[in-house]
Amino acid sequence: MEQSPLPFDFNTVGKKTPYLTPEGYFERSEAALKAQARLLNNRSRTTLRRWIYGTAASVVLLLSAIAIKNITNLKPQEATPAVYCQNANATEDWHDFAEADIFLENMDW
Amino acid sequence: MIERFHRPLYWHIRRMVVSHEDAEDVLQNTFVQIHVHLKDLANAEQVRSWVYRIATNEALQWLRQKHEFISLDNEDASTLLNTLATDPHTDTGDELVLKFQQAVLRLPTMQRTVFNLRYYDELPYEEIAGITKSTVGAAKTNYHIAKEKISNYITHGTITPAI
Repeated sequence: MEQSPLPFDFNTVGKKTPYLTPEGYFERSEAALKAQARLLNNRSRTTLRRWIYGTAASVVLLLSAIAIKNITNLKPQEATPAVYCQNANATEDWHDFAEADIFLENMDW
Repeated sequence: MIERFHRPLYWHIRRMVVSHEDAEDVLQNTFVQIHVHLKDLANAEQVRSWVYRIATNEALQWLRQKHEFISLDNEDASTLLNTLATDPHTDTGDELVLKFQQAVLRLPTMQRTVFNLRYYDELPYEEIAGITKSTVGAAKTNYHIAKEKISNYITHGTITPAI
């Protein structure tokens, strides 16, 4: 506390106040506040756990949906005209190669 | 945190809201806020200012809701004086102590808050400025005006100067 040049000497009252508390209030209050803190901790842990489980379940559902969509979209692969062309060219190439080969040419078929 | 601060915060809140039951409720709300916002506390060294700021805000919010106060500097002291007179947990035995507290309650909220934080809790002006969101200069001025007003009220029965 500070010394004051004011007409009233604050030291005559000091830090006294007229405020009272019920008997044993602070002991009960401290216990109640600690119980409240524990409750809040448990609640926030439960919330976090729910959030993690919820997110994991959503991810699993999403992946399942994607997998199901891919399975239902699967069709037998058909040969395209380009494949036929490629095969036709291959036969022609074989003929050219056979004609040019002296061993094959001289063979008695 | 609870062990360290629950008594000083109770008394700080009690001096602001006057009623014991109100102080109990505000203290509980304060610790809920402390718990919820603990992760936002950037500097652990400023924990005292931080918890006092939360307690002060909770007490002011409580007063605004209960007495429909408009701002920090615009209020009706009669409600608080009435609470002081009627609360079952008020000691009316010492007239000077009672008159001193009546003088404190007649101060505008900002001066009363600064006076309580300095006089009873002995916080440095820097911390008081942080708690009340003002400057060190403003905190010092408010404290000295508050002391002058209390002194005048006790010696002359008037709360002048009306600043």
